[in-house]
Amino acid sequence: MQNEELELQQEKSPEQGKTGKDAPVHVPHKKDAHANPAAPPNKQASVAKRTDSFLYGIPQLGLSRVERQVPLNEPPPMPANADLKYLGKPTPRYDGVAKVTGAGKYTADVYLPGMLYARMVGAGVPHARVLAIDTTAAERYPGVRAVHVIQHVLGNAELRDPSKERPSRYPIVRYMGQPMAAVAATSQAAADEAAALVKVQYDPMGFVVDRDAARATDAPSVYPGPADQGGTAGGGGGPANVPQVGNVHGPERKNVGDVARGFAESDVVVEGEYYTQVQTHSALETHGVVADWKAEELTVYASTQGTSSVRNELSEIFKLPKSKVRVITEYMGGGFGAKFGAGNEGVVAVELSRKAKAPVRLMLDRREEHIASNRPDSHQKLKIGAKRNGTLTAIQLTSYGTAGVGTGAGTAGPATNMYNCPNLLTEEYDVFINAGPGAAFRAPGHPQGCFALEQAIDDLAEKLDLDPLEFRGRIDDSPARKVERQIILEKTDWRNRHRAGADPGPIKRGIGLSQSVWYRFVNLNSSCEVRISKDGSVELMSAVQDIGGGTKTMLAQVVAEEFGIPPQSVVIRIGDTRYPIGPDSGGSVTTGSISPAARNAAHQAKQHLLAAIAPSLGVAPDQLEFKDGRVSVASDPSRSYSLRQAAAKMPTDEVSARATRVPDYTRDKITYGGVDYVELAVDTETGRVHVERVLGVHDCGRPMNPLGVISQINGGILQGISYALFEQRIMDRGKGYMLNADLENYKILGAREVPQIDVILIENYIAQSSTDAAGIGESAGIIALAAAIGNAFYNATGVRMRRLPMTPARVLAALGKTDQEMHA
Amino acid sequence: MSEMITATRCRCLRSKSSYGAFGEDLEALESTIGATTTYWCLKTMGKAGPDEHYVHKSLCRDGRPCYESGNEE
Amino acid sequence: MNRFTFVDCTTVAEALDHLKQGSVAKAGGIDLLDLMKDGIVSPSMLVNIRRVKELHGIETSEQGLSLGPLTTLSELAAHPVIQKTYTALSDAASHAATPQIRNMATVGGNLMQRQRCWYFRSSEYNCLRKGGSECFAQKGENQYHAIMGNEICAMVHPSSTAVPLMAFGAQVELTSKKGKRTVPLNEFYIRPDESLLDETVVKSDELITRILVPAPAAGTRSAYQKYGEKESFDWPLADAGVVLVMDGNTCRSASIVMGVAAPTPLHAKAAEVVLAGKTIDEATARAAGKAAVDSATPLEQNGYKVQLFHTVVYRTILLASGQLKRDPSAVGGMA
Repeated sequence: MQNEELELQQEKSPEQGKTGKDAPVHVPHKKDAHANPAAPPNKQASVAKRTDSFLYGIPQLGLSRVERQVPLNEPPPMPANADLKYLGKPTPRYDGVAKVTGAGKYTADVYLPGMLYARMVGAGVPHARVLAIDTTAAERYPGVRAVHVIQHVLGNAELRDPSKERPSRYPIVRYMGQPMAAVAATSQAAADEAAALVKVQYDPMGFVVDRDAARATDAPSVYPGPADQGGTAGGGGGPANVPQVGNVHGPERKNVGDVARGFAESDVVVEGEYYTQVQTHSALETHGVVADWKAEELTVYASTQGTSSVRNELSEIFKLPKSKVRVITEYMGGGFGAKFGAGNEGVVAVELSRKAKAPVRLMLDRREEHIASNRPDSHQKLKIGAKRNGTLTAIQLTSYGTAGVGTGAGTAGPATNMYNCPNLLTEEYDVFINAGPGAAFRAPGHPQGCFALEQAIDDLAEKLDLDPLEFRGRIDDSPARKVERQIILEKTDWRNRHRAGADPGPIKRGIGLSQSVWYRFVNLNSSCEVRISKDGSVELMSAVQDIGGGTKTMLAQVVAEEFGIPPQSVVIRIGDTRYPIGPDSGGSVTTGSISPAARNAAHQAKQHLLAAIAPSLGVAPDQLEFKDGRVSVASDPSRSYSLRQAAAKMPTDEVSARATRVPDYTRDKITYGGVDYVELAVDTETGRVHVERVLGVHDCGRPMNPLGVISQINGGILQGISYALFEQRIMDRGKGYMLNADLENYKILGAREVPQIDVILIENYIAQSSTDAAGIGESAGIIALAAAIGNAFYNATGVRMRRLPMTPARVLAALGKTDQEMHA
Repeated sequence: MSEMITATRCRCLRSKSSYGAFGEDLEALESTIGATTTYWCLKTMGKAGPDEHYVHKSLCRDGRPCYESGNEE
Repeated sequence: MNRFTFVDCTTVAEALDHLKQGSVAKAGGIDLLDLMKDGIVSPSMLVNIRRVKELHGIETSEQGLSLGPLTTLSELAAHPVIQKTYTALSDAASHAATPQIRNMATVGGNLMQRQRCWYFRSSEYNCLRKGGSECFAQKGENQYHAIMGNEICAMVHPSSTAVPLMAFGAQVELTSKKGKRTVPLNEFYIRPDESLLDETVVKSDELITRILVPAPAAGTRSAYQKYGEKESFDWPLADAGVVLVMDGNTCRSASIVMGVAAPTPLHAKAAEVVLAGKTIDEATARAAGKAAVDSATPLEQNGYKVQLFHTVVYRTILLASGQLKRDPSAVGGMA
């Protein structure tokens, strides 16, 4: 098992490279048939199928057709966007007005009768055993209704190293602000005041909050004890036990071919080190819930990316049947990866609600939000070899990053998946420090990895005396990115860019670009119900949440297209686990997963409608056709009815259908991407970098709502600029305290930092589902911008920026204007 | 394969990938994007397990003292 | 809990009745509320002076400017006479904080805001300024701290308007029940080596009742420039106000003030000397910029601010003299 998995990993990169080589667009992954020998190639293999002919490819490269086996109840293949009425057309946000007028209720807007307000108590030291927690004063504070202390749930567990970890009622504190207790009171002010009265007695331990310092052999240990207790021998699959030495966990290693041989065969090698910073999620809406524990049902309003994930965890933790846990997320103020599951605060709020016998609202404050989650930092060493003809021979990446007290600081995705290279070795290490934990953050690892990879590719192009864009064409097999690079050539002055550092004065301008890569994942926990009432009104229901990307709008378009009625007339009810299960929004899966379920449900509801009214029209159902919003008798076009007229003929008040996502039609490995182009100016006397223009050219299968997709890309580009130039967590090494856990000193790009942004979408028909839709969240600029800015910076100044963010301090250091180096 | 591997993970180990972020082929796809998965433990809702060691897919398996099988009995 | 009484006043006399140890005047409330929420100050009484009419208003005369301390930064920025004659002041007012804050923030409050230092402004740290025994910035995270006069305490004073007001030789009128006194802005702020517990000369029973700016001499030109890490809502990393009295191309005298270089706004005297009597050109401006930072003593992480002040001083001189139309690094792209 383990061997097979290793083999699979080794084969991934070159196979990825072959994708699309012998056809204008994607071809099936050659290993797919036996990629997963323990599982059937298709779990739905027993389902009866038919063969349909699908649109395939990218218009700029010429569309073709491809045949697919699809389940019998799939709707007919969807035509190109050009031939559709509502899908693929810019459609204003379904709930835009509600959002900007305040009518839309976010979690923090939920007020329930008798609701209490809660505040967490965070650890006041970065590393300590907890000797005692005294809640007496908090409990006596006027208005306090419940206090909850997080206790050690040792259960049947034993301590790893009893000599170092004396048993305690309370978990060990490993970072400042770690949740320890919480208070619920009749007002937020009372809860805040009472929380400050909880007294904790610590037995402090040594701590470290600096990644480099944490790697030293004599650094204080965040997790003591050797990692020798992992899986038992022969315990089945999963990765081999990953070593832990001191605070360093790793490497997690991928090895393809032989990099030593690859470098020996190369004509040119580039090698460099790159440093990226910790970025906090800083969603406008902090993490939080309103929890309402009742004997008959637990109801939780949650600011979450996954209603289903919250229900799953609360059900497991509180030993409740899922049928008695209801999670609601009607409006969501951003998550960026940090809001999966119930969260510590979610569990605490439920505990408080259960104790107080009242609904409890617990929203993190901004400081807690900054500490609760982040994008890990990185220190990457990247070496790439190439031949004179511009083919890659070897990529070797070693990266160290810190996700605070957790793991997940890897950066190898781009190096592994972007380019065609026969020899690859990546070694990823996690470094533990006494700081808030990392979490998934919009394309985990990829902005970091791209910052190194895409700058190194530019360096390599220079050494090979090749245009960086043309060089990428030689090593990148993605047909989508090929088209995207071509569009950038056509729409910009790329060919006339000057040599690096050519401007004479202190202000130097430059242009640069970077590519991005993301992957198609599909979540089959994606169901919709579509209901038609006798008055002709249509509604869709699903537990899927709209985390801000525009899921409601997109679903309205899907249903509208199927019925031939305007999207505004479709009612979308989502974000409630009482509806059919929906996918959690992460990994850019939402649109690609839920839209086929929506279309299929709409299509089937339509069939039910035709079947229901056929008897009253005196024809067989198959003689009825539904087109352009009208039901007609095929043999007698004069007998034509609007949806409203047709529905009125139903013998019952309602018909409905429910559909669940079927697996993609093939098991191709499919990636998405984009190429982002940047123009900027560097003031070499102040170290200030002004991004002046961005052109993003992106693909995401069939763009469902170009307005929504472009909006997400705009956001990704802005978040990418903000990451590249401004954002950084600053820890006080003396005390382990985050000094800028606010929105004043944690600097996020504002209106004056917004450049001219142009976004161009390409259509990429992949013939994988009844909508062919895909997500855009991850590949929407955040991955590529820091690298594109780095490359443009080099073009401007002739100096390579190896550290983020590119603040005046770091830029002036890189330019040799100060002898101090800011550590990142 | 993915189901078998998932079964060897502790039922209290969670990550974004527990909720379909990497589709069906969890193990294969999870490693595709690099070692970027952040885990948490349902017993502690934190990065340390009940035994005060960190949680990770390589550690939260049969043999760890706090391990709980994901298989329903 | 930080319990306090709130007194709403409509006259100066009424406000003075309440101003004493433990109470504090509240104008726009921008900095004060932050300090209270962060647990840095806990006044027992807030004396709200926002509705005191006599403290509002901008008066211009041949003698100069008389500013009511409740004049908002937006009003300063938009005033045509200030834009024309006291250009550095309107520039500074228009670049502080955000439009929303400028609509609330008053010039008196802008002068009275406390210094910036994340150690000072966090209740986690009992620093020298709060009666503790340590300046945490000296060996800590000090990238935004002072590069001059920083041996004892390395906080910086971020008042945007103090910089040009000091360069223009402004005076502050202080009123208490005992009477009025006038203090040059030059002597308004107290350096750490003078006292760690007082930051200005304003006593607890005093109120700023007027800010007086003398009429500039003939041939005066001025400019202000600020560099932050970003333009939208950011504190300055470096800012400078320059007032030049010109005779043709020759600078008769120069007044140059640097903002966040030190714990108080600071005259760049060495730079002023370089310019006096000289023809202003890029070379003299750069020489003045260099002189301005000659005495800098940067900490471990803020050496880059030396370069920033060198640049901001030389460019602001050129802006004031009219030889630079706009800072090439200014908002809206570089020239």
